[in-house]
Amino acid sequence: MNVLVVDDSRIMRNIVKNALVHHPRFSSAECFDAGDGAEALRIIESNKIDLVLLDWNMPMMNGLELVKRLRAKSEYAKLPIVMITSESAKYSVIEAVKAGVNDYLVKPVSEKALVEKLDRLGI
Amino acid sequence: MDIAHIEPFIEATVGVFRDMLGMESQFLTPYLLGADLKHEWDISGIIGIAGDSKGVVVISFTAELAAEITSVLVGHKVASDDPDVIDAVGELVNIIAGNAKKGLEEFRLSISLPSIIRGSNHQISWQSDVPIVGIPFRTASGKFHLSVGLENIISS
Amino acid sequence: MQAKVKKPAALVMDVLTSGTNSALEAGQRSRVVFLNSVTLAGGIMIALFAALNFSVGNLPLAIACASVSAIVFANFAFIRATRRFLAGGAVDCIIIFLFYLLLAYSGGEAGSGVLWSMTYPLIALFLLGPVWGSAVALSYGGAVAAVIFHPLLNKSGFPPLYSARVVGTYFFIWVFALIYETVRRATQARLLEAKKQTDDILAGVYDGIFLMDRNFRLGAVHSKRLEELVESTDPAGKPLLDLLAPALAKKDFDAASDYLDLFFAGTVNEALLAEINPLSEIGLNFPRPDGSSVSRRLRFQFIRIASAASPFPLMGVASDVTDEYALKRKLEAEEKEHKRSMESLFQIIHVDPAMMREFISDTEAELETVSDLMRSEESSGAEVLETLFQSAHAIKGNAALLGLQEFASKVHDYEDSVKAKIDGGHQWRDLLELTLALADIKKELDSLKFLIQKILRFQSETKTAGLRDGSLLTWSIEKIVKRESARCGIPASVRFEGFNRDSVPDEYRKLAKDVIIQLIRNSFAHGFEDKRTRAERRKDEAGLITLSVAWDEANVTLRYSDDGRGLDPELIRRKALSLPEFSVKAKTMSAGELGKLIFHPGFSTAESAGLGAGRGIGMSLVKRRIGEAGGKLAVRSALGRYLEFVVSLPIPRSAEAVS
Repeated sequence: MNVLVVDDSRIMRNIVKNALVHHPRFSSAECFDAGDGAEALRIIESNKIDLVLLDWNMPMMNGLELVKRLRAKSEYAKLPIVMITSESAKYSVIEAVKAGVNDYLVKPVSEKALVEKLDRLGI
Repeated sequence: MDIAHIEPFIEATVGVFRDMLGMESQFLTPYLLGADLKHEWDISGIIGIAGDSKGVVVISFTAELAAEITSVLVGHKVASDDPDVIDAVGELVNIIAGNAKKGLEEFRLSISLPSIIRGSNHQISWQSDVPIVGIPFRTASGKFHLSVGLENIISS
Repeated sequence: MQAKVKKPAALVMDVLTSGTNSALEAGQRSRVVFLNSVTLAGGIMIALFAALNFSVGNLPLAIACASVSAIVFANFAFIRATRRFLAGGAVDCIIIFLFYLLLAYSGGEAGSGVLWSMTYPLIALFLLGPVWGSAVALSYGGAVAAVIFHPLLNKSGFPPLYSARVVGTYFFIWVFALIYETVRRATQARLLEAKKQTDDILAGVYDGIFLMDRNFRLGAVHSKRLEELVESTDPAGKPLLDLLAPALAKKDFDAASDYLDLFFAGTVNEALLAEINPLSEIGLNFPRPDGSSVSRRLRFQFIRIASAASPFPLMGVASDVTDEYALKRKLEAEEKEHKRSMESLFQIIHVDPAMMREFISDTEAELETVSDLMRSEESSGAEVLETLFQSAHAIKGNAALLGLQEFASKVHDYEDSVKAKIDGGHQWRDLLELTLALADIKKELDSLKFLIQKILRFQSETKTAGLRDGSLLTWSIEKIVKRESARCGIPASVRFEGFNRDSVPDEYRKLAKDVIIQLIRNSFAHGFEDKRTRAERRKDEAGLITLSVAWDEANVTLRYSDDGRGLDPELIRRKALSLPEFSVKAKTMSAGELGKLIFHPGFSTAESAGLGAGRGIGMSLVKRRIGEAGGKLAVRSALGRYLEFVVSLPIPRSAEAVS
C-alpha cells in the first residue's frame, strides 16, 4: 500500500514512517514524503495513495486547507486521512473531522496508537 | 492568581476614570501587600469574585479624591463628608466592576455587587493564605489604589 | 355557559369535554366526550322526533318528545356547569330508559320502535361502568321483554318467537358490550399504571434524560432532573444548543455545534465520534435571573435508540459530574502538593534547624527589602527588576546550599524571568506578572516555614540533632573555614560544586570530612598568602577554597583546591635536605617527586608547629586512610597560583544503586 506522510519536520516524518513500517502488517508499505500541503497535493495527484498521515500545523497550506481541497474532489472523497496533531484540544479535532478527516492521532505517535486507529478505519 | 483575571479590572478602572470622570490615571509599580493591613485610605469599594477563582478586588480612595470624584459626578463641589460621596464611590466602583465583567466572561468568573466601607483605617478582611497584590494609581487629583487577592482554584 | 372565541375544532372539543378540555385523564375524558355526545345527539334527535310528530299531528307523542328533549338539554347544561359526570350519566340513562321503553311500546313503523333498545346496553355500560351499567341494562332488558311479550302491552303484535329473538339479541349485545367495556377499562388501567410508573421514574431519576429529534430538539417528555441541570423550567421542544448557549463559552459552544452537525452526517466512525464528543464533560456556567450564576460540570451522552424512521431517534443523558470533577482535580492538586511537601520535607529534615531558621529569616529579609522598594514611589521599574534579580539570586543560592532543590529551582526560574525582562526590556504588565510570581514564591516560603516548624517540634521532642548527610557536611566545612579564617586572620571562603545529599556516599562521609578538614587547615597554614602578596598576584583579597565532587562509572572523585601559593618545590627540597632520610635523594628529586613528599610523616614546612596544621602527621594520615579505603590521592599545583588535591574513591556497592 502507498502511504503519504505530510509534516514540515523531517524528523517527525521519520518518526511516523518508522512507527508505521515497524508493525508487521505495514512493513511493506511504500512511504511518500511531503513537507507541505502543496507538495502533498502534487504527490496525491500523481500517485495512487491509499492513506494520508497528515500534520496539522504547516506553513503555506495547513492541514485543514489540504483536507478541504482533497474532499472537494470526488476522486479523493474516500481517501483515508488521519491527522496527527500536537494539540489535544478537542476543538481542532472536531473542526478537522467536520472537514473530512477520518481519525486523529496525538503526538508523539506510537506504533500501537497508529495501528489501533488504522484498525478502526479498516485499513 | 492569574494576571488575566486582574487585567480586566485595571483596564476597566482606567477606562472608567477617563470616560466618566475625565481623569487620566496612571498605574505605578505593583507590589505585594505585607502582613500588616494598615493603610492610608479612607474609603474602599469591595468587589467579590466567585467562580473559577475566588477572592476580592478592592479599590481604595483618599477622602479628598473621593470628594473630587463626587464633585465631578454631581456637577458641583462637595465636601469629603458629604453623604453623596458614598453613593458616588459606590456608583463608580459598580461601573468599574460591570466593565471588568466583560473581560472575565471567558473565565467563568462572576462578580458580586460592590459594597463600600468608609472610615480611616477601615479593615478589609483578606483571606489569610492568599497573597495580595497592590497596584497604586496616580491621577492629577490624587492617588488611589487597587488591591487584588484571588486564590487559584481549579483552573480549567 | 360562556361563549369562547376559539377555532372550530377547539370549540367542538370544548363543548364535548364540558370545558375541561385536556384536564382529564385519557380514560375519563373519552367517557365525558361520549356522555356529552350522547346527550347532545339524544336531545337533538328527540327534538326532531317531536317536530315530526307535531307535523303528523300526533300531539301527545310530540309533546312528550319535546319535554324529554328539553330535559336532556337541561342535563347537558347541568353536566357542563357542575361537571358531575356520573350523575349526568345516570340522568341520561334514566331518560333513555323511559324513552326507549316508550318507543318499544308505541311500536312505530312495523314495530321498529323496539330497535332503539339495542343501543341501550352500550349507552348504559359506557356511561355507568360495567357494574351499574349492567344492572340498569338488565333491568331495561327485563322491562322491554315485559312490553313485547305481554299481550296487553305488545302493541306491535310481535309473535312470541319474534319477541324471544329480540330479547335474545338484546342479551347478546349486552354481553358483548360488557366484555368490550371490561377489556377496555382493564387495558386503560394498565396503561395508566404504566404511565404512572414511567412518570415516577422520570420524576425520581437523578440524571437528566431526554429524547431528541434529528435536529437535536428535545421531545415532550423528559426527566425532572433535566430541568434542574440545565436551569430551565420547560425545556421540552427546545433545541439542546439553545438551552446550553447561555452557559457555554463561545469556543465550547462552537465545538458542540460542530459536533452535533457531525452526529447524523453518517460519515464518522462511532468510536471516533464518542472520543471527540466535547460534551462528554463540559463546564457550564448558567446565569441566573438574579444576576448570580451557577457553575456545574455536566456529562452528556448521546445514544441512538430507535430506527432511523422514528421521529426521536436520539436519547440524551445528562449527568452532573461537578463533584466528581472537583474531587478529581482536588486529588490531583493534593497529590502534587503532597509530593512536593514530601520532597521538601526530605530535604529539610536533614538540615540543621538553626541553619533552616537562618535561611528563612534571610530570605524573608530579602523579600522585605524588595517589597519596600516596590512599594516606594521613587523606585523605577528598572531598579525594581534589578533588586528582584539580586534577591532571587541570593535566595536561590541559600536554598540550593541547604539542599532545597524544589524551592531553589522555582526561584531560579523566577530569576530567569526577571533577567529576561532586564535584558529584553519590560512593560508595566511584566512587573505585575513578576509581582504575582513573587507572591507565589512567598507562599512557598510560608509553607516551607510551616514544615520547618513541624520539624522543629519533632526534633525537639526526639532530640535528634543533625543527621548524616551531605548538607551537614557542607555546613560543617563552611563553619570550619569561617573558624580558621577568623583564627588565622585570613579572609577566605569556600565554594562547593556538585555537592548534594547523595554526592558523598555514606561510607566515605567521615573520611571525606576528616580529609577536607586537614586540607583546609593546610590551606590556611601554608596556602593563602598575606594581603599584599595576594594583591600583587592580582588575586581576590579573600582566599578561595573550591570543593567539588563528581561521579563516573568506577569512582567518586573529590577535588579540593585553594588559590593560595601552591607547592614550592624548592621549599620542599630544602626541608627534605634537612631530614636525614632524604638528605641525599632530595638533591636530585623532580618537582613531582618532591610534591609527593608532603605526604611523608614528619614532613611539614611550617616554620613552627603551632596548634594548627604545623604537625606533619596530618597529611600522611590522610594519604594512609585514603589508601585503606581503596582510593588514590593525587596532588597538583602551580607555584604562586593554586594547589589541588584529587581524591578518588571506588564507588561502594551500596551506592551503586543510588548513582
